[in-house]
Amino acid sequence: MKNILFAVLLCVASSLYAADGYKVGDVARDFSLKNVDGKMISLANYADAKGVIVVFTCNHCPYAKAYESRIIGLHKTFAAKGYPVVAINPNDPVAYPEDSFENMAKRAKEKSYPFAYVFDETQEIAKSYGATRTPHIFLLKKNADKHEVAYIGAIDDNSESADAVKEKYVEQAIAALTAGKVPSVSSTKAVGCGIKWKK
Amino acid sequence: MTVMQSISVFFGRIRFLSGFCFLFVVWCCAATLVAQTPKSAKSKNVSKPLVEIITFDRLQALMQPNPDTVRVINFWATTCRPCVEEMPSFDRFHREYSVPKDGAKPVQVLFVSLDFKRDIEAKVIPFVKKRGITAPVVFLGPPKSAEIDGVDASWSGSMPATLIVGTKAGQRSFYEKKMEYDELKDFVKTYLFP
Repeated sequence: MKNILFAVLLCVASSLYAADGYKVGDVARDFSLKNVDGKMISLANYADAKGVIVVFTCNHCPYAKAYESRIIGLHKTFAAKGYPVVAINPNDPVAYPEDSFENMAKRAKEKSYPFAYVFDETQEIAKSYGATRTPHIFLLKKNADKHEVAYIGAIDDNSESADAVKEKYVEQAIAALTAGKVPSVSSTKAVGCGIKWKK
Repeated sequence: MTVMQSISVFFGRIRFLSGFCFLFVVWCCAATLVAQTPKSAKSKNVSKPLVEIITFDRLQALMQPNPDTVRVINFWATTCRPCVEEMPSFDRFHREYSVPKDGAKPVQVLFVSLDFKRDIEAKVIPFVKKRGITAPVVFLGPPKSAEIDGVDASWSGSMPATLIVGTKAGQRSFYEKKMEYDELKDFVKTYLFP
C-alpha cells in the first residue's frame, strides 16, 4: 500500500517537474499533428528510426529562415542514418498570418521540404516540450518504445552564417549517440523569435 | 621709358605682387581653417557613430553595477515585433530618468541590437533614424550560447529581454518579457534610491 502511494506521488511529482518543459533525459510525449500534406504525423510514424530531430520553427522568423537550409541539410544527412527531422510550427497564425497552415504548405512546397512540417494548433506540444523560441531543437533518442530527450537547444553556434559555424551541436550530438555515447554538449542556447502564444 | 615711368611701373608691379601676396595669405588661412573645422552635416563620423558596434566583453563591462547610474539594458532586434512595440516606452523612460532628479540616481537606457550583422546598415541604422530613438543604441549581433548565459542564466535567448543593473553589487534583475512603461518604472524603482 505504501509502495503504491509512493509510486503515485512520484508520478505526480515527475509530471509536475516537467511542467516547464523537458530537460535532457526526460521522456518526450508523442503527438498527433497535421502535416502540410494533410496527413496526421506522430513520433510513432518513425518507429523504425533511431531517434527524431524535433525542431520548433516557423515561416516568419528571420533566425528560423537563416537556419532553413541547414534544417533541410540535417534531414538529408541524417534521415538515412536513423534521425529524421520533424518540424513543428508552434505559432499563433492570428497574430502572425505568415505562419498560417496555408503558408506553411506554400513554403514547404517552394523549398521542397523533405521532412514533415506540422502545425501545433493548440500549442500544447510546444508547452509540453518547453519550447521558447524558433528555431528550438529537441533531439530525441529512441529507447525501446520511448523517446528520450538527448539534446536541447541550438543547431550550431552561428545563427547568421552557416559558413562561420564552428560548432555543429546537433551533428555532434547525433555522432555521440550513434557511437553509443552521451553527447558531451547536451544543452545550448541561441537567440530566436519568442514563440507567439495565443492570447 | 623715362626713369619716372620705370619707377612707377616698378611700384605698380610691387602693388600688384603685394595684392597677390595678400590674397595668397588670406587663401592659406582660409584653407587651414576649413581643414580644421568638423566636416559638414553630411558625414557625421567625426565623433561617435549612431550605432556603435560592441563586443560581448564590452557588454559585460556595461552589465557591472556602476555607482553613478542605474542601467536598463534592453535586448532587441528590428525584426522582433514586440521589441519594436516596447521601444517607445523605454525611450520615453530614458528621456525622463537619465537626468538625476529628487535625489534619485539617473537611469541610462541602452538598446542592444541582436540583428544580423548584414542588417546594421540596411535595417538597424535606418530604424534608429526613422524612429528618432534618443537613448544610445549599440550593436552586438546574435549572441552565442555562453554569452546568453553570461547575460543571465535564466535567459532562454528569446527577445525582448531586459536586464536592469543598479548602483550597488547584487542589484541586478532580468526579465524575459515585453514591458509596458509602468512595469519598467516599477522594476527600476527599487534601484533609484540605493
